[in-house]
Amino acid sequence: MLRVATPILLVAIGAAITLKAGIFNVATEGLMLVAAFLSVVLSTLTGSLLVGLLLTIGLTILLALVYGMVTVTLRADPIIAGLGINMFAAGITSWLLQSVLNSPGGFSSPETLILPGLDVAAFNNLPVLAAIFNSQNAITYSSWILALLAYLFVHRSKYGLQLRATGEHPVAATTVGISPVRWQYISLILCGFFCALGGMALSMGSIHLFTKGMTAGRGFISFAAASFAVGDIPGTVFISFLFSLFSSLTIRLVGLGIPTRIVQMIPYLVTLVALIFARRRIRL
Amino acid sequence: MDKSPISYPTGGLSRTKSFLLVLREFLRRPSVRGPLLSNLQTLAAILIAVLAGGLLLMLVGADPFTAYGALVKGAFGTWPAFARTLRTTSPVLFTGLAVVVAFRAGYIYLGMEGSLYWGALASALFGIYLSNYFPIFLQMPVSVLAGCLAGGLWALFPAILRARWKVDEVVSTLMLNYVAILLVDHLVYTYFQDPRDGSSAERALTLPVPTTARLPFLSERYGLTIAIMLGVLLALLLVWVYARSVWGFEADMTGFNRKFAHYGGVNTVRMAIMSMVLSGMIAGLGGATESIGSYGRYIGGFSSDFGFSGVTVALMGRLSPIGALLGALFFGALTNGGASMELAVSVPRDIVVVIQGLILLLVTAQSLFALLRLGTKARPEE
Repeated sequence: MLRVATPILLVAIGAAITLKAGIFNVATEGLMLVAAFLSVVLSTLTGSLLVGLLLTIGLTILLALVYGMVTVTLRADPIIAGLGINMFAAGITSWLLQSVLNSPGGFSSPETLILPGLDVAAFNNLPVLAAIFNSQNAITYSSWILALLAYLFVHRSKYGLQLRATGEHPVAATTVGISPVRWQYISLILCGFFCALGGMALSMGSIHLFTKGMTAGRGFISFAAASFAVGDIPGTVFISFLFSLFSSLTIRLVGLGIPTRIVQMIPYLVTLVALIFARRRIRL
Repeated sequence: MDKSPISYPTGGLSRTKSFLLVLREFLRRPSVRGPLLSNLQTLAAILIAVLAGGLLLMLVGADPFTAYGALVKGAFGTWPAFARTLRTTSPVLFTGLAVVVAFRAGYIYLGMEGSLYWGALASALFGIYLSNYFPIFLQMPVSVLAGCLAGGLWALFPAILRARWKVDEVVSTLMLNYVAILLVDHLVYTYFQDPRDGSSAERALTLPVPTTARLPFLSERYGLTIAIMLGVLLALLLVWVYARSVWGFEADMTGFNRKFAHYGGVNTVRMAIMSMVLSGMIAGLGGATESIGSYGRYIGGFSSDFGFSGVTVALMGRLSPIGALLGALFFGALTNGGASMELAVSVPRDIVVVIQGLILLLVTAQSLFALLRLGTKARPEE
């Protein structure tokens, strides 16, 4: 369950930060897809996990900045431009798979380049905890630390206050000397970073394979998770875990003979139901 | 009658200079300037996207001029090529018009894909199992209508959620699209699967629709049906709706400023539901024209993101029906020409999706703000 949760958790935090800066950022889907693709491909091509991952983070942030330039500076509609980024991501990954990598459909990296798992020795005597916490990969562990850091940054630091002011009332923020534009860009850089990690966790977490369109709406679901919590980090984390719980339950349901397509529907339906219960006006 | 030439007080200016002055004044008129700027902006978005596509082509060692040349020739070069372009134009023309209807009323309804699938399924099933209860000349129209209604019904759900409970339509429709695609495929696969289809057990496929319930072909060889004509008629109808009808005026007013429309006596709850359901019906119609049109049956995964392409198409046309028509034609040419380009320079056609994505990314930069309420949110000047 925790492993399933990691990508959604990370991307949701990224979405939450941009939401706090007042950007209705549906581009998370595309950013995540690009990161999932790049991490597998670049780590294979460079032969080094570290170099591949760093390049992925850099390039994903770059794409987030392109989105930022179009929405913040050129003042495009964030939803429409976000859909544009998603379409671009779907196109470019599938195009590169065919034209450069010559493997339409998917690309897998060698087994040696899988993310390292971590074992916490202290849990070895406690079977339940060991089953939950051990043999999770490095990204899963870092995601919890990053969630904590994000919480401290957004809710407990003076920078977080500036960030939230930007989203809540840009004019008021400007009058006290905060530059909303700068904070929107910063939030997008952070979002790019989190989406990069989320994408990596998806394609290199338990499997080491990228398939065409593999995010399948997870970016949207993460965005939804962030928007229920109105960008508050603790709420976002809670809801991401809740969604992931349902997703991991669905994997069990396939074994019980429930049709695959019905099972695949559950995460989207859960998100929808949550959306109805939240009933909050996210967008003005 | 003999008209004397209009003489402007030139004040000693030369003829050219005075002409330029008049031209400048003309271009400065708000009624001219707005549309001109927004069209320039669309052209700029297309230009940037095409240039970026060219760069990508160069990156993999293909000559962009040869490639784009092949694309244009493959899209418009010959009559068969043009027929295929019209064929690919048809589905996105419907989704594009669906987007126009919802967006003009100010709702970012993105459920076209879902309605498209329900429309395709409903009309195919109606055509196969129920249309023989109708007289022969009605079989095709009622099947089309079934698809249309199914698309509208599917849109009713997010529309009511939006109008009554203020559930954000962007996220709800994005989620419902996935649900629709999976559910429709599941229904077909479980209950209506063509038993003779042994080729691929994973693909949902209904029985073929009887010919009497199918849309007549304009050219069977290129899969071109009268759907394209229906689409053009619908676009013209919408032109009338927005230029002349009360509903069109109220929709535009709601899109411009919902509160203002409300105080002005527009029932905005009903407007929200009506505009989204109408949008769903048009998308459903698009689905119908695919399943009982070109394909003659429901085929799982028949739409390659036509819903989102509709957003590109409609915004390229600045949310005007005729603009959407041109946008759809552009999209059709791009997709169809992309296939020829793939053959000519052996570069995968997905480059076309990249170009489309970039257009969508850039097309709203600056001016859509006037049209969508999102622009009313205060954004400080730096």
